Amino acid sequence: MTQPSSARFFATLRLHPPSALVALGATVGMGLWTTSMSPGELDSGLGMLLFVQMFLASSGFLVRARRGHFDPLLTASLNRIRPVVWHWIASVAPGVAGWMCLAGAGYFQGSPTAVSALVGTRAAALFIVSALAWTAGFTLTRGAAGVLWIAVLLGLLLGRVDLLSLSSVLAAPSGMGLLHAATLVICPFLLIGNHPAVAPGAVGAAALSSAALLLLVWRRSGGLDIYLVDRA
Amino acid sequence: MKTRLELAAVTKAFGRRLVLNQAWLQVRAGETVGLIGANGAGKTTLLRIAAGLVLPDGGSVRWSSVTDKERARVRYYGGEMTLPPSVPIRRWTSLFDVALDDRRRIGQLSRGTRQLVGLRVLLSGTDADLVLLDEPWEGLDPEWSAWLTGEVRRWRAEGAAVLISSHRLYDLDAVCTRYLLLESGRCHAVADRDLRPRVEQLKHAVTRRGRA
Repeated sequence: MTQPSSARFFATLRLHPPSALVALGATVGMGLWTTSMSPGELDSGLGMLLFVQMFLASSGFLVRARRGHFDPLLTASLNRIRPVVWHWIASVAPGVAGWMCLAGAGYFQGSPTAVSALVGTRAAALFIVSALAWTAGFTLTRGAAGVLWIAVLLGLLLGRVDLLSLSSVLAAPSGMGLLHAATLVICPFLLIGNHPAVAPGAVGAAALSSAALLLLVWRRSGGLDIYLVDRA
Repeated sequence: MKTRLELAAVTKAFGRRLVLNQAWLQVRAGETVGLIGANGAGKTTLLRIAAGLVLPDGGSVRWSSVTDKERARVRYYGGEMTLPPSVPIRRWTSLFDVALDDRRRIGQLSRGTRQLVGLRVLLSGTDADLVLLDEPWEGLDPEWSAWLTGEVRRWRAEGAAVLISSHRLYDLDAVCTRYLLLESGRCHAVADRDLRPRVEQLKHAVTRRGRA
């Protein structure tokens, strides 16, 4: 028995159900088709992909770990951070690959938003979703964080739509950068499409707060008990 | 012989339930220790603490390797339920460089076959200082039970320290050099000749608890 690397282990384990990967493939295919028809429509594909990434990134670490599925990896070393970081990478990788595919196609077809999708505010939206969906779903079952996130967005749309309106947020008095950032964290879709320009500081703060949550979960993973549940 | 695993005054509680209460345990190189106890006594928790998966609330766990320069190489098997059901057997075993040419998914196998797949992966090779097995004979037919017994003996002969939790006393008898009874959160040494009477006591205790 040789000890596999964390990357190979999670690649073998298939963190995503086949149906999710089919949905991702269909989304990328549709995005590529729309972009090829009209390069300016890249955002519609990116928006759909962001939605799919909410579910893909929410792959759930702890539930599967407590079923013992990660035992060979977690017993190999006392360092939990490396497997947990690789779990995040494996969870978000298919969505990121699809995103790169769309953004790359948009770039070569002269889409005006392609650069932003690769290194700008649109890329920040992908990072926010990839970090927060995984973080929120760390202790939950697969896909649960995606469902919760959508529920929160729907709740806000029905009750407090003003919180999701970038125009009203931007109209708020100066010094409300945190409010801007919070709005972007809750609804990163605002970074995609023809919305008013958001201050780079607010985008940075939203991305940094997502990164901080991700780091917090990585660090705290060392103190988790991986006891067995669901044993027959 | 060198100590490979040492649990000193280990305490573990889940909520208000104290599972381990100042448990002490040592497993040395070249010995096989059988861990016995009633259902719910804390055997699995103790093994997972020994594997580094569960963190004790108190006490200490120490592993030592052959070289002393790195952490002991630990292999732990928690049973067939711990295998990922959606992964094909061939894919899973090739991950550990073990060749099993079966394209079925692990979840499609019978319980005994799943158990066998897990054990064949875990017990392949000889590169481990400490082997921890939780109910390894469960679900195996007599032929494969005998194979497992032979493998455990081989590991011991290679100098590994082996700790096995099981209710299968006849199988334990065939491989263990000593026994520990986990009762009231503590490990009690059981002399080989006393094993049967102690287990009879244990059975009575469990029966009494069941009737109460």
